[in-house]
Amino acid sequence: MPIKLSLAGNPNSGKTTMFNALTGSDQRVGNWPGVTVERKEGKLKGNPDVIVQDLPGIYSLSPYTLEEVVSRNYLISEQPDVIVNIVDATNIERNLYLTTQLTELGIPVVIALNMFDDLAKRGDKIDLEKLGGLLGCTVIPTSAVRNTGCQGAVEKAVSLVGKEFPHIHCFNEEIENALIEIESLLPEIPASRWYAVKLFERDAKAAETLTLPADVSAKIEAIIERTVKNGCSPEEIIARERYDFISKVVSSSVTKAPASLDPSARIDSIVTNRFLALPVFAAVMFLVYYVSITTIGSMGTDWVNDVLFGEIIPDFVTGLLEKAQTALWLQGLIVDGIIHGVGAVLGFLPQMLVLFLCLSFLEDCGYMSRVAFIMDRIFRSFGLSGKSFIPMLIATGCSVPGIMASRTIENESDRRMTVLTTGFIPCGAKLPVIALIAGALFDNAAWVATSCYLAGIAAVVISGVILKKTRLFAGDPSPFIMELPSYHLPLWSSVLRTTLQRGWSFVRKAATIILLSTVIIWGLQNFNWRFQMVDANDSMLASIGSILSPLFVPLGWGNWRAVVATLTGLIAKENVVGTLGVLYGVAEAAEDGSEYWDLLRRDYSRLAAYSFLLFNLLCAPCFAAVGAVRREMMSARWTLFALGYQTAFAFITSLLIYQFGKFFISGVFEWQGMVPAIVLLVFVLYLLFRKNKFARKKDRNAVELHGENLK
Amino acid sequence: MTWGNLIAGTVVALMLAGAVVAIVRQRKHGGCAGCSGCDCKFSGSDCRKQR
Repeated sequence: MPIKLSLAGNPNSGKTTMFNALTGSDQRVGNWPGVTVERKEGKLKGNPDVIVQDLPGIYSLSPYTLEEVVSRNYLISEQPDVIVNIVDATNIERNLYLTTQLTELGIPVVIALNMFDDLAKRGDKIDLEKLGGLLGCTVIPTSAVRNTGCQGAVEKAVSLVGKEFPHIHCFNEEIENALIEIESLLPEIPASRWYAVKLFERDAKAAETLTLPADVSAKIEAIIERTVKNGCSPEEIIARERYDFISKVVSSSVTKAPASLDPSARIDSIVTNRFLALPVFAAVMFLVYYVSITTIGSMGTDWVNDVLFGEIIPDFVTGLLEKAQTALWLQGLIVDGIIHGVGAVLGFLPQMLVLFLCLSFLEDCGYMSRVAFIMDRIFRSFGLSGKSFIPMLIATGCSVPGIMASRTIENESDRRMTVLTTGFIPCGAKLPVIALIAGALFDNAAWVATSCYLAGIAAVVISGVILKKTRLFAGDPSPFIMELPSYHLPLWSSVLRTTLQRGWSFVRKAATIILLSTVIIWGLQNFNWRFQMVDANDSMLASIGSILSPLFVPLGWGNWRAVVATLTGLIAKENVVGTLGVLYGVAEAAEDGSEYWDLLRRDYSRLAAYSFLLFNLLCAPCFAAVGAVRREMMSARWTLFALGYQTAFAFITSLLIYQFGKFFISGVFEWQGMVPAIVLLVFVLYLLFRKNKFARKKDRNAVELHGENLK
Repeated sequence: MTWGNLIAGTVVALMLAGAVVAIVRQRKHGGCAGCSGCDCKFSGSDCRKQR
C-alpha cells in the first residue's frame, strides 16, 4: 500500500514549492495566497511508494471557501497516513492555529518550519526542541525555495506512519474535561478528538457528518451548557484558548529581534501609497510592455517574423518542394498554409517570453500581491472585492487557471461575476494579437499593449458597476484579507521555469491547435463549395465571412478576412494571428508581393485596427476557457449568459471607440454610425449611473430592523 | 504521383495526425491550454504516465 503524505498549511506558506521540490513536478507557484485550488498528487522522488499530496492553503479546519473545503474534506474523510504541516516561520503565531487543529486528527504530524532562512535574516531565533516539545511534534527547519530540509521533513514523516500520535492539550482543564466527556459519547471514529472539539463549538457541518442519536446530542448540549458561561459562544472560547496556548508556546520558544522598519515596509510606503499606488502601477505596466513589445522583445520578433519565417524557412522549403516536383497545391498548403499560419503565431514568441519573464519577476518578488491590495481599494468603491483581482492576476498567463482561481471567493454572486469578467484580462494567447496590431499599425508603440491591459481592468470595473445593480449580482462585496508577503529578490531558476513553461505551452499550442486550424483555413480559403480551387474572394471562407461581415461594418472592420480571424480566435486566441497570416500570406504571394504587415495597413485604418483588437480581447474567450467557465458556473444557462455578456460588451465597446474616434478625427457626423453609437452610449451611462435599487432596499431593511429594536 | 508528392503529403498527414492525437489527449486531460495551472489531479512524471 502506498503511503499518503499530505502537505497542509496556511496559504502562501510554500506548500507547492515544497511539493515541486519533493516530486520533481512543475506545478504553478505564486507569491500570493490562493494559487492552489485543487488537490495535486505526485510520487516522492526516490521513493515511489510515497504519494505526496499538495492541498490548497487553509487558515483553519473551519472552511469558508470552496478550495478550503477541498482540504478539510480530504484531511477528515480520506485520512492521509501522515501530515507535513508547512509553517511559515516568519508568521509563526498565525500558522500555529492550524497546527493545533491538525494535531487533533489523530494522524502523525511533522512541522516543516519553512522560510527559516528569511527568519534568520530578520534576526529572529526559534528554539526548535522547545517548540517541538510544546507542540508534541518534530520540528524541522526548511527552505522550500532552496530545497533545504524538505527531504529530512519527509523522511521523519514517513518514519512516523502507523505510530500512535497523541494530541496536545491546548485548552484549560474545564474544557479538556468537557471534550473528554464528549469524545466518550462518540462511536469509534477516526479524528474523534477533532469531532469532539467541533461538536463543542456547535459546528453544524461536523454534527451533520456524524448523525448522532437524539439522546447523545442532548447529552453533548448539556455538557456545553454546563461548561460555557458568561454568554460566550463556544466557538469563541475554543479560538481564544487556542490563541492563548499559541502565545505561550511562542513566547517561550521564539526570540524576536528588535523591531525596525524593514525594507518591505519602506517600499510599500511608496508603492501602496494612497496617491502614488496607481501611477506607480501604470508606470510599471508601461515599462513591462515597453520592454517586451517595443524594445528587447521586438528585436527578437522582427528577426523571427522577417528573417526566419519570412525568408529562411519559406525559401528553403519552397526550394526543396520545387526540386522534388511536388504539386502546386501541396506547395501552397505547406508554404502559404502551414508555414505562414504557424510562423505568424510563433513569430511573437520572443516578445511573449520577455513579457512572461517580466510578469514572473513581478509576481515572484511580491509586487503583484500589492497590486491586488491596491485594486481592492478601487474595486471596493465600485462594489467589487479585491479578491476578484487574484484570479485576474493568474489570468494574465492563461484564463483557464484564472477562472478556476475564482474558487477562493466565498460569496456566490462575486464568484460568478469574477468568472464572467476574468476573460477581459489579456491572457498570454491574446498577446500575439496585441503585438501584431501594435507592430503592423502602430510602429510597436508600447501604449497599445498597456492600454489593452488597462482596458481589460476598466472592463472589469464597468461590468462590476453595471452588474452589481442587477438582482443577479446584488450584495456587498466579500471582505478581502490578504497577507502581503515580504519583497525578495526572486530566484532566477523559478522565474525562468515559469517563463519557459508558459513559452512551451504557447509552442505546443502552435504545433497542435494552430497547425490544424491553419490547414483548415487554407483549405476553406482555396476551395469553393464544389471543391474547386478558386481565388480567395470566391472561396468557402469568403462566403462564410461575408454573411457575418455586415454586422461588423459599424465597428470599422466589416472585412471577411477580419471576421473569419475573429471566429477562429474562438478555438484559440492565437488563431486570430495564424488566420490573418494564412489569409494575407496567400494574398502576398498571389498579388503584388507586398509584405504581410503592409497588406494589413492597406486594409485597416489605425482606428479600425484598434477596434478589431479591443473586440478580440473582450469578446467570448477560447473554447478551453469556455469549458472552465462551464465547470465553475456549473450551469449551461450561466455559461451562455457569460458568453453573451462578454460578446455584447466587446461589440458595444468597439463600436463606441470606432464611431466616436472617427467623428473626432474627421469631424464629419455620419448619422448611420453615430446615431446608434449615441443611443448605446446613453444606455451604458444609464446602466452605470442609475440608482442601485437593491442597495436602497437593504438600507431600508436596516432602518426597519433598527426601528423594531427601538420599540 | 511523384515521389516528392508522396513524401511531402505523408509528412503533412503525419503532422496533422500527431496534432489531432495531441489535442485529443490534452482534452482528456482537462482540456485546458496546457499551462501548468490546469485542474489535473496528477502532476510531473505521474501526469505524463496518465497521458
